[in-house]
Amino acid sequence: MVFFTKLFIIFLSATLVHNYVLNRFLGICPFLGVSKNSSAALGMGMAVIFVMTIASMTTWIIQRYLLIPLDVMFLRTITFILVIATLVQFVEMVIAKTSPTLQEALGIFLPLITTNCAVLGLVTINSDSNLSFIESIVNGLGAGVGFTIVLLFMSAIRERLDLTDVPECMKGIPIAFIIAGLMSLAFMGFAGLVSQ
Amino acid sequence: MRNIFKLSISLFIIAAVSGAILGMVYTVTKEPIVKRIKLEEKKALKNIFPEATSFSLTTGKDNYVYYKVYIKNKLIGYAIDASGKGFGGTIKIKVGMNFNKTIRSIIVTNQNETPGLGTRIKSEKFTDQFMNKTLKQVLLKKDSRKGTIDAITGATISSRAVSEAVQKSITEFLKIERK
Amino acid sequence: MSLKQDFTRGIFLENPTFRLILGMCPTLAVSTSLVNAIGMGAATTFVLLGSNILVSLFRKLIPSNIRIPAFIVIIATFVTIVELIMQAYFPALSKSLGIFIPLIVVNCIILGRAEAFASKNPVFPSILDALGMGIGFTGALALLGSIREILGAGTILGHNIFGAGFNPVAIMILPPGAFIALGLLLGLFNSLSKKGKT
Repeated sequence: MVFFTKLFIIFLSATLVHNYVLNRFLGICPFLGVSKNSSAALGMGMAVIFVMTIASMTTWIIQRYLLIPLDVMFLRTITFILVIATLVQFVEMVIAKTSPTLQEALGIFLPLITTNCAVLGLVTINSDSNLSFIESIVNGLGAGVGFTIVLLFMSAIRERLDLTDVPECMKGIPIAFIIAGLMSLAFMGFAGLVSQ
Repeated sequence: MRNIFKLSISLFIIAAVSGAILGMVYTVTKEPIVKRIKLEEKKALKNIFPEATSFSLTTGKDNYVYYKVYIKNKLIGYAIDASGKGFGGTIKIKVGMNFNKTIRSIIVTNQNETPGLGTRIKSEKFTDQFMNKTLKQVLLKKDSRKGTIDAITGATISSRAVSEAVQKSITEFLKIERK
Repeated sequence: MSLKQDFTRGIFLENPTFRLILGMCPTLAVSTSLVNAIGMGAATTFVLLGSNILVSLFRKLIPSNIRIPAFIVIIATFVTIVELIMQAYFPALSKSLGIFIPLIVVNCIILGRAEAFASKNPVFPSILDALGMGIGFTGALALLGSIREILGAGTILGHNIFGAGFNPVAIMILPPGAFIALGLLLGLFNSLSKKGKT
């Protein structure tokens, strides 16, 4: 039972308390770029959840059985980013075959998941935190879900924002940042949820 | 087929050259990095026991590692490691112990807490509270009646993490020392 | 494209932070103090220089369809070099920049310049482009970092400037403050550039 509680805490921590976008500042570029409409946001979120979960698994295995035994931890960054790049290529191919509409909606942002600092950030955090295999996967899931939640909130707000009167110079990105700031403030309320 | 082969070779060459360069840089920086870590360790120890002339790394029972602190040949105290999960990651602390099971002083060596709030656990205003305290007194006032430590306003989680880490480390140390 | 333009472009007209809206993650994360901001700016400029130079040098040799992975490997190499050098000689900065040092790899500015400029231009203009972009990025980071440090901690480069009576606006050091400050700055620069156009 303690095992599942621990996993739940990891999940909650990654999703809300240390939300990857609003607290750790990871994944800002896709957050700004894809959050203009909700269906693209959902699609992007799903893709990111998938990549993060698989990336957590792969990088954990590589670290445990390759990097540490061979004492080449300094190659961590290079190895991780190459793993992520390969995974994203793969996801791209799958989406191209199964749902061309989704592919069109995501546009350039799909290959850009490679440069999404949230994914590389996640696997680096996993690596630094000495989590077990299952814990890493749960962390990845939590990070992805948290990212998706925030993306969806943002897209809902921005869809309405289009109909309001925003000062010219603030239109688009600046006002999105202000809103992100307010969301981040709200999410700070989750700080006491877990004591880690 | 030939094309893929050519592409793979090119990528492989690039990766191999990168690997070689990194290997070289790694060997060059390996020593300085190790030296740095040792230097920071020494600095932390000297902060707690400024009058000490030597620190001896000792392995006790159950592979417990700690420092015996000396002035010339006279043992004056011990230095132990404490660590715990704070709000933003692991907090590492060095605790200096006197012979009468009270704390000499503590110093926070590693933390990733919220800037401006949790990072205040590094300040002397917070850590000085731990001086001359016993095992039971080391807890936060709000966590235990015997506790004597004031948490930092707005950084209870970080403060509590330090408190509990210090307490845990002292408990462990006393167990080993008794053996 | 004159050489002078290659250099100045990155500082004002195409400032990566305020005009191209690239590299937002590190901008928000490390701008908690001026010294962190400058440290990150310097590290990024180093990687930018290294990657631009190498990509430009080998631009005719790298096959086009593997150019993105090739760029990534080159960039990741320089980032690892920065990581190791920081751990060895700048440990305090290394600790405060944390995971954002390895994250320089995915800083869109670097990949963006490699793809948009260095892969299509000779070495010397690429060097200027890298320097210009690096300085522009560092400047933007320093601006945000100073604002957040002054308002959020009452210090600049660690030195108190307001005296004991000042109660800092703690939110500026925390994530919401970063978002709001950057949003306002972006709005400000938007309006300045629009005024310039009319």
